[in-house]
Amino acid sequence: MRRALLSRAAPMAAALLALALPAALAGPFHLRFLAEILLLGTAVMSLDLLVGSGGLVSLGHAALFGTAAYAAAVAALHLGGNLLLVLGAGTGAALLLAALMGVAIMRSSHLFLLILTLLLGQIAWEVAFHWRAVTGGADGLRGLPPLSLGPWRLDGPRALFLLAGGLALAAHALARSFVAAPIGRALVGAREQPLRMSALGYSTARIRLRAMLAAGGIAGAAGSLYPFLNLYVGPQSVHWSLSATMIIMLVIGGVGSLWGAFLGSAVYLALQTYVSAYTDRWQLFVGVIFVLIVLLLPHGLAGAAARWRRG
Amino acid sequence: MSPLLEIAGIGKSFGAFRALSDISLAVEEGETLGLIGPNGAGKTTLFNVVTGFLRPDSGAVRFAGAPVDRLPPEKRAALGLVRTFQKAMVFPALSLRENLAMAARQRAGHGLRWLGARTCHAEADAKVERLLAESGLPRGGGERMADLSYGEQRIADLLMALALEPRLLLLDEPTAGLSQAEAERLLRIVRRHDSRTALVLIAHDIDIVFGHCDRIAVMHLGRLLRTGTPQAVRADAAVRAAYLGSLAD
Amino acid sequence: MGYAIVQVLNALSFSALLLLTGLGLSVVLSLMNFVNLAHGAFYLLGSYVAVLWLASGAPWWLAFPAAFLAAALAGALLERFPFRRFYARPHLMQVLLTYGISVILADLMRWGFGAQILTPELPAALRGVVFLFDMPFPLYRLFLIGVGAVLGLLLWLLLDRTLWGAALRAAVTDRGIVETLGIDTRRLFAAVLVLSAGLGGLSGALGAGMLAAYPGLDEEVLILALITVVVGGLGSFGGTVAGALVVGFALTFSKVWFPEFANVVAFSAMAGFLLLRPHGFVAPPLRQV
Repeated sequence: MRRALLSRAAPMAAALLALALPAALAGPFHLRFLAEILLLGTAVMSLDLLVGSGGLVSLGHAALFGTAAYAAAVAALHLGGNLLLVLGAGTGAALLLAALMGVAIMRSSHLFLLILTLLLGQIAWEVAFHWRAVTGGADGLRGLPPLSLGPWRLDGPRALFLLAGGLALAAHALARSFVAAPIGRALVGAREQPLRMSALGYSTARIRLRAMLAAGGIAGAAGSLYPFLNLYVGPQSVHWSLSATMIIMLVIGGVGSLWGAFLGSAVYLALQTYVSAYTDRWQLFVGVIFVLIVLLLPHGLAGAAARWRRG
Repeated sequence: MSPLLEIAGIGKSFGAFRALSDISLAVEEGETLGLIGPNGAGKTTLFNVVTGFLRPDSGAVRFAGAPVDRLPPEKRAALGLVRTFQKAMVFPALSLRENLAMAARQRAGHGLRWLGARTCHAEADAKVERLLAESGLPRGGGERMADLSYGEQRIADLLMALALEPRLLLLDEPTAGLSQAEAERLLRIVRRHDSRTALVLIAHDIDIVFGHCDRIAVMHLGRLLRTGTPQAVRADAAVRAAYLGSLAD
Repeated sequence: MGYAIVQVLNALSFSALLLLTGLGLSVVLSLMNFVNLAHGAFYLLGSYVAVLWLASGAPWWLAFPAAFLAAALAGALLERFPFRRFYARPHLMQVLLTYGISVILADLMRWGFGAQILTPELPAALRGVVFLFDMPFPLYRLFLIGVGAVLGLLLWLLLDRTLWGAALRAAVTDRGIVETLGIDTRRLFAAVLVLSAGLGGLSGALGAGMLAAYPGLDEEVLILALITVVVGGLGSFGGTVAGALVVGFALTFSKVWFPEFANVVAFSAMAGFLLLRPHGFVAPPLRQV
């Protein structure tokens, strides 16, 4: 009993420490950098719900994240940067799009699903890119008001970092409960043996819709805070190449582990930030690391860590 | 009272091949019907049509007095029209207990819940324990399904179907590939639920069919040759010619 | 009238390019059940080789076999390692591996060929325009349509009408049985992948005259080829032809009719098609149970 309590409390304490230490010690650049890792990591973790549990490889996940970012930015521009309003607008928009995607992918799987999500995502990108009056077109939206909650302004790097950290923790708890709940098990069942699931009376279409809504909601919450890191949102946050990047992050971190998503996003963004300072070939680095992980560590860094801990 | 399952004039073709022609059949509440016929007679195709995995070209299926032709497989299963497949179809990567719980949660209407997971799991676990105890499987339930023997997987497959508390259970060659002892254990489990559940059984083992069924339907080349009691079927000349052949002589 | 014909020919030339690129992808997919997302890289490699070749002053028509060979060589190397190990793996792992390879190849090509847009110097025989109903139409696009049709036909004959093709199709259905007949399926599969890669390079060489060559084109082409194959229903020959026509015409005519939102309309049409036919144009006759 005591051990069980300890094993549950230890990761929680470690996570809180991991948030508290940088908040106290890191400078503004690193705080923003860590906040970006946390927000993208949260979105990648929501993708893990689809890929890891459901085997549903979506190439349109950035559309959920980016649509939320745009909705949050537009809401902030017109109504001010109230945190709850921004979160609500972004998450709501992502949920709407997720519902659409969930309905669309009801009958498709494998490559068909990949292409269908890609097409839907690119439609969202085209809208973001061409609907200049609302989205600013290729320039995106700048000059967003800072986030606030009642009397507090949340625009310093420390506040943004803590906000991202709190969101990541909450989202992780939510995703874990989803995986452990009957719906999460059903998602695994629909991946493993869809025919048997139908014969048991499960509707795979409804399972997928719910998974897509859960993933879309979480990705949307992360996406709604994303513009406020740099007070800017641009069309590349909707583009399918960000979806592909999310998949790379997920695979580096470890598919199916949930927390590996944060690891993957940290490794990727660190490579992008630090290796690109030394060489133009940082994408080569990313590609080689990614291929090595696919070849050698099919469960990613998180899987390797788990194996190492078990001895 | 109308029969539990009513099949009327079912026809199904795959390209030029007529898999089923004009099949009409009724299954009464609580009875056990054996479905026999040589390979390619259309038995499994008929199962697929009845359970909604295939759309027939013609004909109608009524279950418990209502038409089910437009319902997808999962809706039919939810009505209590439950099947197993020709091969054990389980979730190999999940544990035995998790396999059974998947069925139990769906039966309780909790299959897709997110909130209140704890109580759903507790309820399902209790049911799984009961099923495991009844089954006499020498297993704790934590084993991965893929690590079980084929016979044990088939029994687990059957237990999943039974966890749905079906009104009509369609078993597709449940004893194929099993040892004598495993086959008998499986049939014992089926019989325990026999009184509550109507049963349609496809089997190649003549002893099993003639020993356990109230009525027997014989199919041959997509047609229904004869339906009747075991004695009547055994005596039927057409059946002897088409199927039993030398076996009966 | 002339305008409509020119647009139809535009669509056809684009379809021909999509067909050639898509066939390379669908050949490995249908015959080996292997998803190769590095196909776009083979295409772009072919484009670069053709651009350099045409600038070098060597006989221009050799640019196409040169591009074929270059990409085929790259395919042969990658086939030995690591593709071969992944033929029996699930699609997801194949997608990840080959996507990673394509990221590496893309950056290597950016390194080697630079980041600027390279346009080929077309030979005099392929330059200029012809007049159709008083409308000018680039000669090169007619050439594309012709080559696309001929190559497509040749490939169909090879796979559908030769013993080699029959052995291949049999190996897909049951590898074990074909091996007991004394046919080395490993070499068979290697040959298909090399052929597919070469075909990618050849399409790149042909496409360079229309789309030029630049970093990122590999991904754009890959996506369009994937859509073509998926809309076609994964891998049947006729399906890929149909897919190429659908995608080619949808993209061309949405530009004509809805210049502002061309891609939205075209993508919506393709997505709508996949919603109505979740398994594409020519669905394989699979029995689920």
